[in-house]
Amino acid sequence: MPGFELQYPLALLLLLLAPLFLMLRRRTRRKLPFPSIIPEMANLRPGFWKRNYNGIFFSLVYTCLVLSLVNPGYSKETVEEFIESKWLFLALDLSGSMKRPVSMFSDQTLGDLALDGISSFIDMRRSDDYIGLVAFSSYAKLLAPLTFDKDLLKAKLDLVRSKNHSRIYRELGAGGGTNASEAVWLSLSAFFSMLPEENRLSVEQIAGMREFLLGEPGALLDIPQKIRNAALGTGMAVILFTDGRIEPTQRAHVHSGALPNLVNIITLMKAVGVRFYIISVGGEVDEAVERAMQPVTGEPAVGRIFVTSRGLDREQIEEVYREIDILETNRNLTRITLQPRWTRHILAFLGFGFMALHLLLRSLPQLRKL
Amino acid sequence: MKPRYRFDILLKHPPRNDMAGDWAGLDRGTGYEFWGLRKYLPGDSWSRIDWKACARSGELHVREFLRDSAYNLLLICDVSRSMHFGNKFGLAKDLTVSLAHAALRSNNPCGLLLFADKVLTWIPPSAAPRQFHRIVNALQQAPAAKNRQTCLAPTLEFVMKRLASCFGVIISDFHTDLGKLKSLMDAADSRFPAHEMVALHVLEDAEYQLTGIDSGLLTLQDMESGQQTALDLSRLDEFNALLRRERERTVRTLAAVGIDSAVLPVGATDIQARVNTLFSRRLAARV
Repeated sequence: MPGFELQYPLALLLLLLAPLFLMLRRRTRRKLPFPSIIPEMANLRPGFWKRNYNGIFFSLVYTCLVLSLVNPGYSKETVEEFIESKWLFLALDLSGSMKRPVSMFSDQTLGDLALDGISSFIDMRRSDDYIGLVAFSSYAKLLAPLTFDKDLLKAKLDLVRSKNHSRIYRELGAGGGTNASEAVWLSLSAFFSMLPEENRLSVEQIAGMREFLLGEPGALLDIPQKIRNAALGTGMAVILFTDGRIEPTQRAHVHSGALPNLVNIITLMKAVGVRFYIISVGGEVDEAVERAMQPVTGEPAVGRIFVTSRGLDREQIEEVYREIDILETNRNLTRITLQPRWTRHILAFLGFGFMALHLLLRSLPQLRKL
Repeated sequence: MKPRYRFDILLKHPPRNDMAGDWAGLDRGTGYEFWGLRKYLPGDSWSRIDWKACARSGELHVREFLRDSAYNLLLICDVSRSMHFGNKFGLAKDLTVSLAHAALRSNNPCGLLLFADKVLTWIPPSAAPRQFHRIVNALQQAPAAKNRQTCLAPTLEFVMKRLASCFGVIISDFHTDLGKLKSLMDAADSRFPAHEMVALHVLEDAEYQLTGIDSGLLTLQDMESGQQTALDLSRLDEFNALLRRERERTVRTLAAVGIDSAVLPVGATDIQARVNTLFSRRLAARV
C-alpha cells in the first residue's frame, strides 16, 4: 500500500492488553455452581462458534477501536494525464514609429502587420492556453488579462488597429518612447496575480519586488518565498514585439531610476523560469540585454531574440511567430497526486458495527448466555 | 426442632448386639421375638401363618413379633460443598432429625457423623435423653468443609473401626468415587452383616432433571472441584438423560456393595413414603 503510515503508532501497545482483558472476562463470566460435573458432560459442550463467539467479537471490537486510535493512513495515487496549458503574454510596441506604412503602396502600418502576426499566433495556440495582451510605448497598458477567449483577444487587438483610431491607440501612439521593461514587468505582474491563493503576491509585495528591479543590474535579487514555492514559470512566456531600441532602461530615466531595469527583469525571469522572446524589427538590442539573454553554462536559455529587417512583410512575422509556437509547444504532462486517506472513521464504524452485531447475537435464544 | 417426617425404621437383618434380645421393643413389628397370635387379615404374609394354631382353632392365625430393637442407628450425613446446592442440606437435616427422633423414640441408641473429605463431627450412638438435642445442635452448627471434596470410604472405615455393629443411614448426594467402597464393604457381604447400610440419595431438582429452559448457553462450575464446562441447553434432553444414567449408576454401584438406596429429590412431596417404602422393601427382601 503506497504511503502507509500510522498517526499514533504507540497506541498499538494497547493490543498487548487484549489477552489480559480476555482472561479477566473468562474469570469473571457468570457461572452456575453445580454439585458435580461428570466427564460425559464434555460431549454436551457447545460447538466452537457458540463457545467462543463472545471472545471473538470482543477481540474484533477491541482491535478495531485500538486501530482507530492508531489511525492508519495510506495515500491514494491519482494519475492524471493532460496537455500543458501555456500562459503567454504578448507585448506589442505601439509607439509612433510603429505607425509608419509597410510600403509606399500600402495603407497598412507596421503596427497592423504586427497585429496580424499576433492574430495568427493566437489562432495557432490551443484553446486552453491563457493569452494576455500588453501594448506599450512610453508607458505600458494591459489590453487583455490572461484569458483563453480568443474572440476577446482579437477584439482587443482590433482596438489598437490604426484604422479604428481608438482612444487607446491614439494615447499610446502619442508617446514616442519604447518602454519595453515596463511592458515586460506588467506581464510578469499579471502572472504573479494569477497564481493560486497560497502563492499569490499582494499588491504591496509586487510593489516591493519592483523596487528591487529599479536598481543597477547585478543587484541582489530578492524573490519572495511564495514565488519560489509556486514552481512558477513552467509554461509561461512573454513575447515582446518592438521596432525600437531594446535598452535596460530608457535614457530619460537612467538617473532618476524610476523604471525597472530590463536586465534585472530578465534575471528575475531566469530565476523563476519564465521564458522571454524578443522580436526586434531592425535589431537594435542593447549589448547588456543581449548578454542577459545568453544562457549560462548548464542552465536552459531564458529565451531568444528574433531580429528582422525593417522592411519585413506579413510572411516574415508569421514565420517568427510559428517558430515561437514551436518553441512553446504544449507538452503532454502526467500529474501524480497522492491524497492522504485516514482510516479512523472506517475502523471506528467497523468496531461499533461488530459491537452491535455482538449484542444482536447475544439476544438470540440459541446464543444467549444464561 | 420438630421432626418433619415420621419414619418406621426397619432393619433387614437382626441386630448384632449382645443385648439385643434383652431389649424388648415397645411396639409390635417385624422382629424376631414372638409377641403373640392374631386372626389372619387380608394382606398378611402367608409365611406368618401359624399352622398349628389354625389346626387347633380351625381359623387362620398369624404370628406377631416384637419390633427389632437395640440397634445402633448411625446417621452419616454429608456436609460437603455440593450438599449446599439448593435446599439439599435442608432436606438432609430434616431427614437426619426425623430418623434420630424415630430411633430415640423407641429407645434405640442413635449417633451422628458429619463428613466431607474426612470426618468432621462424631457423636457416638447413645439413647440418652439429651442425644436428640446434641444431634440437632450438631446439625445446626455443621462445620463448613474447607476441602472441596467428598470422601465416603474413609468415613465408613472410621465407622467400622469405631462401632462393632450399627445400622447406618448415609444421607448424601454421592458425588464421590464409589469404587473404593467395594473393598470396604466386602466384609458386609455376609448373611448377617455387622454394619448394615442404607443410602438416602438427596438431589436438588435441577440435579434430578433440568427443566424450564430450552435454549441458550450455560457455564457450569463444579462446586467441589471448581472444574468448569459449558453446556448447550438446546441439548437439554441429552443432559437430563445423562443425569438419569448417572443416578442409576450410583444406585447400581451402591447396590453392588450391599447398600440399598432411595433417590429423594428436594421437590418431592412424598419423601416420607419413599423412605418408609425403602425400609419396607428391604424387609420384604429379607431372606
